[in-house]
Amino acid sequence: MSLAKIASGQKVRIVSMNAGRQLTEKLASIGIFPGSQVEVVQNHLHGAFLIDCRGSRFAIGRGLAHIIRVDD
Amino acid sequence: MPERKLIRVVFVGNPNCGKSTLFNEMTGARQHIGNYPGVTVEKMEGSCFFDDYELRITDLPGTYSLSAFSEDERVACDFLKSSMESLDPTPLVVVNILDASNLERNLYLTIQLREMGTPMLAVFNMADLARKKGMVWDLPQMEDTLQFPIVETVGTRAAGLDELKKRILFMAENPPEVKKLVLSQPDEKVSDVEAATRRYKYIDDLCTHCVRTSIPVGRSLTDRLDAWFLNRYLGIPLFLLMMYLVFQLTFTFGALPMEWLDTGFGMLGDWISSFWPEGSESLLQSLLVDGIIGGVGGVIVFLPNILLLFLAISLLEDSGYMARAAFLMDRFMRKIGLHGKSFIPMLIGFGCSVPGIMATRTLENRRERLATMFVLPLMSCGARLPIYALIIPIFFPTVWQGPVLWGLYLIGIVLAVLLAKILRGTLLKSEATPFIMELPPYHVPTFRTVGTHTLERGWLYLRKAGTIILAISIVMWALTTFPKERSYAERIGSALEPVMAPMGFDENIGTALIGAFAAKEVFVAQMGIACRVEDADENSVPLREQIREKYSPLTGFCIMLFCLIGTPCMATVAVMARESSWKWAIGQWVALTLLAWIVTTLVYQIGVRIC
Repeated sequence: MSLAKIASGQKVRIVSMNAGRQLTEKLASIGIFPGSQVEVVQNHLHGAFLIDCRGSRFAIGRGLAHIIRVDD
Repeated sequence: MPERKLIRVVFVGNPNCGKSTLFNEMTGARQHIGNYPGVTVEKMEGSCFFDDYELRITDLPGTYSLSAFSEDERVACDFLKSSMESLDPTPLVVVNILDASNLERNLYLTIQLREMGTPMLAVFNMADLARKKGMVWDLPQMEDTLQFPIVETVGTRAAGLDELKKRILFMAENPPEVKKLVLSQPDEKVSDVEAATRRYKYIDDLCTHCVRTSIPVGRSLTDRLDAWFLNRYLGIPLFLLMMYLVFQLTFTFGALPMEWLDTGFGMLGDWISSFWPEGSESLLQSLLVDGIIGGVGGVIVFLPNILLLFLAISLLEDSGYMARAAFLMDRFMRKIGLHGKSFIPMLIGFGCSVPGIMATRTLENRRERLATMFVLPLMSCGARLPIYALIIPIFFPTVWQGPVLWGLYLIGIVLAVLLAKILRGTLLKSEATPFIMELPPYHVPTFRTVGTHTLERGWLYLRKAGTIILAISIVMWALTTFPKERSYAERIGSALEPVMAPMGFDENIGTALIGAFAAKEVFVAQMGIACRVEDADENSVPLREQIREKYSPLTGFCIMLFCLIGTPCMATVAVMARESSWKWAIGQWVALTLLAWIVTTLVYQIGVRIC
């Protein structure tokens, strides 16, 4: 399922990403890529989508959250 | 005194790792901002003296990886490669600075550097934060595995710097044999994802063996603050409050220094005039007082305002709040086809377009970047303030003055929004870049960092004053002084009359606007000269009175409107050309001027009919 559906406080692992080469490398360089553990810090419908990944906090757009597929 | 031995040092590391703080601590006042050849990005260079060595340090823009996609990351990568491949015999030491409290992520770049075979040493900066998190590392083992020395530092307390300098010296004197780290066979075709996976596996292995975290991380101050700043309901109102504070700071606190400067320049003008007898017609006197002091002085007077704006922006950036602001703005920016990251350059544009346009380099998508740069001059810049300051008090009673000023700013913003939407829907169509922004932990900004960032941007404005505006002031002075009876400027102004008339402008205004093309601030000085020339007998009548007599409030408003929208100054055109192309720069100038003409004409023609 996509990252966008994960509720606040849950920890998941990235399975795959539907992204082009550039985006993939960019995400990889900050630690977001298949195999990484992600904790969803905040997921409100009209608010920020915040995640913690490899020790850093990121605010990501909903579009991005949709293309990242995770397992539970 | 013996010649100091030179060592080339390059600082490279993630954004937010405290690189710049270390750089500032080591180079102190001995630094300057330059430009990379071919690409306009600020390069920080400075010198540090230690023993009998000079460490010439280049601080590169922060980058997460060497396969870089935004302009500043690309610059960092290219500079590194060319430094390493250069035939310069001066010893080169690359210093990779890491945020030790965030080791895993920071090591990604480090691994890429090792894959490139870079002669380097690493710095675990923010070691104090790491300790607070309960991190403990086995330094000798890490040094052994990674095959380079590691130094711990705390940039904000200047701790560990001597050790760092010693290690740099040692490495320069004893260049190591660097073996490239190989994570894939030369003939193996490895996908980007696979390459990244291998790097992280390497990092995970390394950290498992050498790093331990003993104390679990609890809810920090950052989380608590973000609960407010990124709150679903309070986030935007708090953001608006911040923006209000920024502009209050700029205008309110800037007012007093501005008066001082204004008075000071007035006194300077009088003092220089005193060298000539009363009523002298000396050309030199005129050049110095009217041309140079009038022209350049008009610019410098607004420096306090602009510096305060940049100061406020620096405070917000260095404290970490800006990242949150960019995130909050992202929703609205997307609706007009821009990016949350477009917001910060636009905010800077309220001070001066030049650093604003340069700040767009963080936008990775070329079309989003172009659209942002294109509409940026519509953010009413500091140079237009002299024009507003001249005209508003003439025609509007005190209560109306504030609202009219804000109205002008608002018009600029609204037009920028419309224009951006149109551009992104037609010429500059592209997929929107996914939004991802690191939210660094909040921290108290240090004097030094904030000061440096403020001066970086303020310096660009001042340099513009010292060069372009000085030159243009002299040229304009010449155009309005020669020939005696009917100057060149007047002739040009007359020639432009058919274009000016629909907007309600006469020759004088037209002439003044020509000067304003070069630099907006010159408009006021030019109005002064143009009016004085016409009314040579009434030299004592202040400019304001003259304008009040000759023109209507509608015309006054139209002048400000035209200056707001059109004819971006030369400096803006030049930077735009460097950051994109001459085609775009000229296109921007033409488009904005045309837009200005249309809007002003409409306003004037309608206004004349209803008033």
